[in-house]
Amino acid sequence: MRITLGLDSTSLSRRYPRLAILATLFMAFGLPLGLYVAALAVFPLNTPERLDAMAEQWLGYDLAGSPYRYIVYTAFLLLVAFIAVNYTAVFGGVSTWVERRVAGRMQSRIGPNRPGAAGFLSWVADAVKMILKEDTIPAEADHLLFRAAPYFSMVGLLLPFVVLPFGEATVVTDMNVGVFYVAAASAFVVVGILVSGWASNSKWALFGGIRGAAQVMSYEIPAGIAMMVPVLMAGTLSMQGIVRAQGGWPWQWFVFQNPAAFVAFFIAVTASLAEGNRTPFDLPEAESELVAGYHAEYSGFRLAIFLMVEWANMWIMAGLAVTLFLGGWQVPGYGAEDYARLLGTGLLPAPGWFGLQLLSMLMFVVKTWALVFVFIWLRWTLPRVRVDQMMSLCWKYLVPGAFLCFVVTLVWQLLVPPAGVAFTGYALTALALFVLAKFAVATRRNISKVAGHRVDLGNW
Amino acid sequence: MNTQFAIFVFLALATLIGAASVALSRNIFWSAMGLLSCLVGVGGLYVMLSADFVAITQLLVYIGGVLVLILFAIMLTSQIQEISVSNRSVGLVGGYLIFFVVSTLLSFVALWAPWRLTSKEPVANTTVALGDGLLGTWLLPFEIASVLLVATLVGAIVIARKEVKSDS
Amino acid sequence: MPSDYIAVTLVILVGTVVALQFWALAKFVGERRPSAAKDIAYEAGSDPVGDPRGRFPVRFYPLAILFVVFDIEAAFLYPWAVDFRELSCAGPLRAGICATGISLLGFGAALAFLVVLLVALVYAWRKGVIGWE
Repeated sequence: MRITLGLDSTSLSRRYPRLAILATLFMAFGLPLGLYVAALAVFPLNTPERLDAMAEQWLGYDLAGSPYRYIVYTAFLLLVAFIAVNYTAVFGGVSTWVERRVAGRMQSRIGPNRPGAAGFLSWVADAVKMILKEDTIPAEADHLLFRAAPYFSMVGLLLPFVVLPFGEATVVTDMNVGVFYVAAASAFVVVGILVSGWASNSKWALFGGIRGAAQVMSYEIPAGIAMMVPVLMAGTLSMQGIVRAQGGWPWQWFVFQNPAAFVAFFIAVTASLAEGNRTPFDLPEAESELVAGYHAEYSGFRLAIFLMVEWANMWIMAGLAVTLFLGGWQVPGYGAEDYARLLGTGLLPAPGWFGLQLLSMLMFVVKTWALVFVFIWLRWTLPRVRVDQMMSLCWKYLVPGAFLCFVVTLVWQLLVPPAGVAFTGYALTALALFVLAKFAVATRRNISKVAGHRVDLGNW
Repeated sequence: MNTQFAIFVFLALATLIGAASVALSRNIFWSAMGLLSCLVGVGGLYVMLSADFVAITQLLVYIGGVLVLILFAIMLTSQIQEISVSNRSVGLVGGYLIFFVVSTLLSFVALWAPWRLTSKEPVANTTVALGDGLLGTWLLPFEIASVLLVATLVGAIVIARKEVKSDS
Repeated sequence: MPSDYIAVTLVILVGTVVALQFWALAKFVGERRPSAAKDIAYEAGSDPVGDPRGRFPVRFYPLAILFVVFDIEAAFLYPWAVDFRELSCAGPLRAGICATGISLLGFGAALAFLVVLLVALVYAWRKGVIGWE
């Protein structure tokens, strides 16, 4: 049986180029936008009190006293969860396309460009291909655990997603213990890696599994301590609380507000790269040493789940770093009172409120994509480190460094007056801008040495 | 109230079935998976008691730390046949004896302890209360915990190094 | 607050349903032609040699203990980190700044906790747990 889906160049998109472009545009903008609008419409309603008020005012129904209150609330939460999970899946897909295109550019080739305009639909084609592929389970494997392992990874991915704030009002739930919860969630990733490595009953998988578990748990420590620095600065564990303690302008971000936080940001990003098994820390699945590591025996949709988790995880790591250090969704020039003023006291907020919410979501998404781009850029620039280098980087440099940042932040928070913090903010922002400018000039010079004065972006 | 009870029963069953499979499973890796179910169930019970920080600690320390340590230990010790085990298990009679003594003791404690029933609102922020407690009333246990942790590490390193030396 | 965890449960539930839907699609749309050769674990293209579940180097074990130690330490530090301003100032805070001097009991005790664990890290380091020399 041969299934032709028309996603390859020979059929639909070749015959109807306009259709291909329309489909691409729909997928590229319609899908995320639709998800955002749905999130914006549903997430703010997501408290029992607000649902009570809505039912009271619009339907004249006393939901608060009704036995169905929790059923209605749970149904709404289910909708929220559905949107969040879809977002993860779509993001995981889109970022594989971005990664392949960026990698292509960096290696002077084109990258996937057939399905859809600029090859955008290749992630859909990949997903379809993965599902159609045969799903093999080694005869010697522990069948049940082999099947269960991808779900552990999936749970480890979805847990931090719950508290990630996309916008001022757009978060699945804002826990009291947010940051601590995020630090703990990677437990399931480690269990997933170990279980898949063990259940496969293959040497490559077992080596990859034990290496991966050792790596992920080692880097949990510096990541966890570096994540405590914003907690010290904000005085709360809630993710929304940490974002609210920052401001929209770069000098109001935590990363620039004290020198220790600046260092802690880099420690946290390095550690999360390693936790996400991204190059230069992709030892658990190093293809030249371990075939594919802990998922060497996986094929078909189970492999697709592992890969989706890996790419979506990259986005969550970037989102966490943005939330904790880079101001999250804060829009420059708008403070908490602006949100409160536009929200008003009525049931339905002013239209301007929705505009501001979309703007705040946009801020978060733009910053996160920028950081994801940096992750991709690192992957195609740096070589893989050795196991002993990976271990000593973690325990000899990152852990003591993170502790030092922690202690310096403590003293800083207790002794430095607000004027000093503001001055540090301006000074570090200026320093960062200076470094960026130097980098841009150097890059321009290097490019013009090779390509003359015209920078060619034509084949993107 | 009924939904709450149903959730409680579900979590308690997850805990008990997990615990039973730890004890009864023939495959040691499946015992570890039973432990996972048991620990998640206990974490859920903490959530139901409004102890959110303790629940997350359960996730971080027991699932992320202890369970992973046990999985490591399973992988390190699998396929050991040539070494004779020095401490024998107590056997069926001794096992039943210990089981009955301990379970009777625990049942008595559970039934006769003066449990404090509270209908107060849940503590708004358990984290701050915990921080105050650790650095206030319970300062000495807090400091001793760090020494205990160091002792654990030193012990593990000493034992593991002996193994490495005898290997090479 | 338990509503937070209802949300967590539901997100996990929906995620599992999505994964199961992949499974169903793969089962009904995908092809399956199992064969004995396909079901052998991959080793190097030839038949696997020996038992794959051999014993592992013991040096992974102290590493795991090191992780557990620092994991527990992080769990102790988080509640302190949230409230450290009130705990570590000798007098009342003025606009978030401690003007009256640092309290030895709040600040020093937590630092002592940290230092003891750093001693553990240094010990592990000296004993070659980390670098695998």
